[in-house]
Amino acid sequence: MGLDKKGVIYKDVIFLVLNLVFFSILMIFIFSSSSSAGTYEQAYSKQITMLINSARPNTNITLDVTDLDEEYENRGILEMFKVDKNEVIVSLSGRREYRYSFFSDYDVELRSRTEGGNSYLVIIIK
Amino acid sequence: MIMKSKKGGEKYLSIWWFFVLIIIAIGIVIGVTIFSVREVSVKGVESDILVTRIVDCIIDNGHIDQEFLTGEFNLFESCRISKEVVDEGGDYYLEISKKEEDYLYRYGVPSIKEQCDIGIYEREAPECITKNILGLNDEKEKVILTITAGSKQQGSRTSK
Repeated sequence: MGLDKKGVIYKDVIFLVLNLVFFSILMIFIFSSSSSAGTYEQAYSKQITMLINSARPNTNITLDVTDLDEEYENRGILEMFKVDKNEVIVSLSGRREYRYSFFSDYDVELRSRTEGGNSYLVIIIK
Repeated sequence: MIMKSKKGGEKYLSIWWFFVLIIIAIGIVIGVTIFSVREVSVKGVESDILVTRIVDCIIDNGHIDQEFLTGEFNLFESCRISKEVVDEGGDYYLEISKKEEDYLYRYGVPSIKEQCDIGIYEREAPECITKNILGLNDEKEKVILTITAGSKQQGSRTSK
């Protein structure tokens, strides 16, 4: 009887541990997928492109990128965001990049600014 | 009878329980992957911005630029729109016409408008915006312009 009881307890413990492992792996997968650099790269490049397209010349647009700067702190803001000819290039992780074109024939310059512990990306449209 | 004689742990550790977990896992992985890989489409917004830029450029206080109505207006230079991207890039279409008349201006890929008219709902399908704009010419006569812009731009993801 005693051995049977022990066996049941071990099996219950193994069952619980396996379930915990299973659901933990699933949760890690879901969270890593939802906050992956690829999603942010796409979102930021399109957002910046739309801002440039709808802006008038001689406009400065400031984006608060403090969260990104903290998450990818080994990379500078101007390493993560670039403008090449008519393309906005965003590369947060440094391994991949996302490009999106804007149709405005403006000269666009990017600068970074730090103020009060917050990091900003400044888009200068000339 | 067999199930009744099994102990609780034994029952749940059966192969069927893991089969159910694997099915759930596959479902969640497929769902999350589809969601995260999916592109956020801004083609409609882009087209709308392009139309707005043209309107802002050619209409001043309700009056349409006279040179524009002759069809000899340099749209790209005057409106600061990139000819390389809109006309030659292969991702845009821009068409401006006077009501019930021929095109005044037509740039880019005409098949974009055809695809929009057919109404294909795919990830790569273009999105178009058409707006009718009322303005006055130099003789103070009402002129209705129809501006259609479409985009099929897909962003590109590259590995470094």
